[in-house]
Amino acid sequence: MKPDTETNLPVKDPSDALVPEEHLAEHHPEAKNADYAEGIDVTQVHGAILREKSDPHDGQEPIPVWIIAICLGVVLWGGYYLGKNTANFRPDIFDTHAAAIGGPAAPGAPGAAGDTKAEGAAADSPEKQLAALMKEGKSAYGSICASCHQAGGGGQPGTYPPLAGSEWVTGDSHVLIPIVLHGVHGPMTVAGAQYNNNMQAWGPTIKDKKMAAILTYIRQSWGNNASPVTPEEVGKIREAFKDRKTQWTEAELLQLKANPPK
Amino acid sequence: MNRLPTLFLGFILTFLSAWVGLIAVPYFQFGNLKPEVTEDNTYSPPNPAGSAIAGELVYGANGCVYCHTQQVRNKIDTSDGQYGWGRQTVARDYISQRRIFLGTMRTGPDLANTGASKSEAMWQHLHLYNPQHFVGASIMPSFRYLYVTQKIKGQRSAFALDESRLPPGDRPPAGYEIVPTQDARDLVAYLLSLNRSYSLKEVKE
Amino acid sequence: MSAIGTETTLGQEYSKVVPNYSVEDAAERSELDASTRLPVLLYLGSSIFWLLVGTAFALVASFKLHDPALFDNGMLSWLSWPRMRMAHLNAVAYGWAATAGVGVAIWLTSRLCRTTLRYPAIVIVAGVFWNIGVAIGITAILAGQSTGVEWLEFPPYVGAILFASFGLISLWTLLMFWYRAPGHIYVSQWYILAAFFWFPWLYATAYLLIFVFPVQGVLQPITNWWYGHNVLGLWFTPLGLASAYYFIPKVIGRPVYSYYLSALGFWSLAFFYSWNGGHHLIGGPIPLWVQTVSIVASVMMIIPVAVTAINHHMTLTGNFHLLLTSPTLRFTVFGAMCYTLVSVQGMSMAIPSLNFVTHFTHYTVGHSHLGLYSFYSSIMFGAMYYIVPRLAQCEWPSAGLIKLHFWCVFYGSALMFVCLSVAGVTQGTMWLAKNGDLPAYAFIDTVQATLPYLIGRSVAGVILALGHVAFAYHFMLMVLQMGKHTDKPTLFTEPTKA
Repeated sequence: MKPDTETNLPVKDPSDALVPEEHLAEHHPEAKNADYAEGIDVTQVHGAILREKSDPHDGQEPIPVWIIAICLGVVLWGGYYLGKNTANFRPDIFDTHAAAIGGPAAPGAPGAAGDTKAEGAAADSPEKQLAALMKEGKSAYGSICASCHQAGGGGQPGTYPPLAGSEWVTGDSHVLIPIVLHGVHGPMTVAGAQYNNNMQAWGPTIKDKKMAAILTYIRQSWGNNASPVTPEEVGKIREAFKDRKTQWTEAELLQLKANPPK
Repeated sequence: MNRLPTLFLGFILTFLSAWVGLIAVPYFQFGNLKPEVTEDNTYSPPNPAGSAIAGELVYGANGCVYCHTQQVRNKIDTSDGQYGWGRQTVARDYISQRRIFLGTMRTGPDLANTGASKSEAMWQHLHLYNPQHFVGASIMPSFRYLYVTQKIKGQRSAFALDESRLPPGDRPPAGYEIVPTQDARDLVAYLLSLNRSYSLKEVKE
Repeated sequence: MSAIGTETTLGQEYSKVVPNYSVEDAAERSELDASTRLPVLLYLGSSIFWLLVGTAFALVASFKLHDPALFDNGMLSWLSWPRMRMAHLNAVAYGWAATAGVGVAIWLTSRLCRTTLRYPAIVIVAGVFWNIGVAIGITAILAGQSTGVEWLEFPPYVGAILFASFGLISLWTLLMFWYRAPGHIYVSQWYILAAFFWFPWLYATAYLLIFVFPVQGVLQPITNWWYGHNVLGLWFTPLGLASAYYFIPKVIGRPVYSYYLSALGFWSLAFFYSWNGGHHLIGGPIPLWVQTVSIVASVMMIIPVAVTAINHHMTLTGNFHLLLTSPTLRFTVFGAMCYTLVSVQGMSMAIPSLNFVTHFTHYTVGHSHLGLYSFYSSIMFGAMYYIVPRLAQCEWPSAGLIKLHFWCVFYGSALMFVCLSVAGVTQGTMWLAKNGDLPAYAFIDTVQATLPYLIGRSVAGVILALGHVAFAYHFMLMVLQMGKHTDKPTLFTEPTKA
């Protein structure tokens, strides 16, 4: 008789017949004909059920004091955190920085009105005009160009060429503007590295002023230092190539560089 | 504990509290937001139309949401603002969509603003057809089952892919063209409609 | 069956050594188990079928993630990565986890209510329709009819089938309580009753507000994640805990340490878990207060988790050696330990500063597998190792196969967890790394950096699949009556002589 470790109960050695055959023959002659699973040999069939302990019940140990203390501590922290970070349950605040930056409904917050004023004033002097162009360019660059050329203008090695230090960006604007207006495809060497990808035509979706802003921004950021691009320039080039429907290739662009459009 | 009614009362109260707090209260507080309308009658966010609406379902059925989010978080705690995905998004940005795919994984980049940064339909089609040709290290699967290669009957289809922009191995034989199915066209229309370049008053710059 | 009490010499021997042992109890148990045999084996069998199906989808999806052109290079719609991913989740969640959970719960309900299974037709019809619903749903996903709403991918008409079947099972549970033997309601029963009561409410809310009367804008994701999280928290977790609360004391033969801890654990879980859903949207376009209440509720989960862990640990104290021998106990305790781990991890992931690292990364995927697999599935495996011999009336044929299964589960899920967690932290920290004002890494670099870990995850998947095949084969032998016909349990090691 050795203990069954699933249950700590004594278990008969399997070599011992559970119910001796002579016993069975004497007391239960019907067992011989019975289907095995439904047979009279109940001790064997239901061994698993028999050796089970009774169903579990509850002990009555009290809750340790330190657990109650921890619970209270966590609840206190929860109350504090709730109080601090719900922004008075306002539906128009989405992060904890809203107040610091000037929440949307905070009086005097810089908003759309402020921007309009800045643009109006921009007409004053060339410096202000340039600053406004750079500001618009930076924002448009961030939402349109940066997903490929990256926020820092570094591009993606092997896939998207860099704009920072690119001779195409800082070179002649009459080559740069068509690239953006109609897109470019096929092999192209930029800043000493070879690329082979597709850039879409942006002419149909970006207006002259915004495009001038973006181009000025990329020509004067990240160490680039080339002349600004004006909306008029963009308009002129757009007009000159208004019938073009296909993207440029590097060869065509090099040709264009040598022969500026009139 | 041996009283069923007490147990059930507890089940109801605990669950009801959260149901009220996270479902009912939000419904009454911001469940009926209105678009911003300017003097010249432009709506922010704009209402997508036609194909873009059908495209929402294609986006869902083909599981784009399992790799792409459509939510841009604030620029201070995260780098979301600097990956070229546009400005932070807010609740009102989503009111004109019927099914909302905020997503929880960024195996690929966020798409909240993809209509602004990849606004060319042909690029979107070609990229769906062969992602690795455009982003070498990409692990995005190809969705060429959304395209059919067919014999050109008479004139070339207006929707046919520009095969000159595909690698030679992907180009169809002479006399054939690769045409997007209706599903692919709807999907691309939907992707192009994902454009948050308008502003809203609760969005800070 | 009443013959047992009078004929057994073994039972009489037990009654001499075991306090509270009665031969009549054994006779009653035998009668209860006979009544649950068909329905419970139907549920368990079909759940194991879905486990195999779900594992196959998982392997295809996992390999395709680091090798996107594998097999068909995007030519076959039904084999595409996203559809495999959706089919995997739904096969394991609704096919495997839910069906196994209901099967175990039916058995536990009969045992704990101490009443034979009443109206078996209800349970069987519900089980058949549930399986039909899951099969149609998965076919529909592969055919491109998925909704793309996470955890609710089945097309709405399938949702109706599932809801109807589930309603039947909930109704049946209530009937069982109507017929139960008078007396104390054990903690496992609270969890089962609550789960069966909450899930239809939960499912109906999400289904109606997303598909039937769609709510506006971000209310949809809020509802979606309230549902998604509660499926885990208020449906799978209670079923897993009900099973752990039954089998740990049952196998070692001691009472649960403290009734008061059980009660505190249950009610704090019920209250706090239901508020957790918003933590899937931290930083997202939902009002700050919704995020904040969910963050607080998530951190509050420390109370039920710590309390349950202590209760289980104190129950086990002094009997750890039984983990060496009893398959049921080892699987269940491994699952219960993973429950503590996954819950503490979940709390930490809700804290904003950590969430901004782990959100949107593979870390979250690792977390879900730790929860639904290492915790929940292990406990279900443990329960099945106990229940099936009592229903099939034979013992597991091979201790070696059980051992293989356990170590596959252990090493497979550990490897998967480590790979996905490291991948996630790598992604998250690379995204946050700045070079001056700019991100230090291009996005595609962060994708590339995860590749070795994704390959590691595929290896883990193969290990898990091996365990599942072993388990399914073993289960099939039992159902076909090819188990050992002996009164000795199949244990990991032979018990040492005392």
